[in-house]
Amino acid sequence: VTPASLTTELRTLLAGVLGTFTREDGSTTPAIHQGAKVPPRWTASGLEVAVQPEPETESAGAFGTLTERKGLVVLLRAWPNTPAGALDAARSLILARHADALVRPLVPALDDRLATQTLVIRYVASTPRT
Amino acid sequence: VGFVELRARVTKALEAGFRDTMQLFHRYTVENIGKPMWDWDRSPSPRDIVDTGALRAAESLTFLSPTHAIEGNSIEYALPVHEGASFADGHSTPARPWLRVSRREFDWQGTARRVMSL
Repeated sequence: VTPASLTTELRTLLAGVLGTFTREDGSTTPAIHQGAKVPPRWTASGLEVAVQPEPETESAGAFGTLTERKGLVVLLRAWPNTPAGALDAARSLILARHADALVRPLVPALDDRLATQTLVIRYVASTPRT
Repeated sequence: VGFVELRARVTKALEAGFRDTMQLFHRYTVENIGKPMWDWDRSPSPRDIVDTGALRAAESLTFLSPTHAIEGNSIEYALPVHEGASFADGHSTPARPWLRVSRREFDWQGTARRVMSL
């Protein structure tokens, strides 16, 4: 799995719940991309999906062995006009496809802060490290 | 030494080792909050996550049992600082997951061996 292939997969999988990016010239495209932020000078509405370009390594500590997994980070970001339930639906769709994805705590919407959920799609199984 | 007594001694040693290891992990985590790796360049006011010191002061280690402990942070804005946050005007603050990084980088085995004199 690469960031590009995962983005392609999620574009199809989440087609029904994705929001929209509007470019400077007024044209629109589904709100999914590789990167941490909305592309400069674009505006977003609805649910945005951002696949981080760099994989992440997760480790779990233990007295005996440590385990490591690599994963791709997917950010779900709900802009103010996101339909109710879209973020939950996107999370469920991803988990149905990637059952061992790690779900990070939901950062809830507050004042002008957007609800954001991070998932990590693991693509390297546990490897013991002694 | 009978089996029951031996088991009790081993259990006690392991529990003491766990407690000491976790206390050293807590100290390591608190120190990590102050490291420059969390700085970000949000113009015009570069800030770190120590800022007023309230988040670092709220870092805590709680023992639920002799073999179960929770390292966490009780301040109300800890979650958006740790996981990152986006705002409706387009700006965002990056995730600065000091707990995940501390857990990943802490020398668990070496510390446990050291505190238990193994």
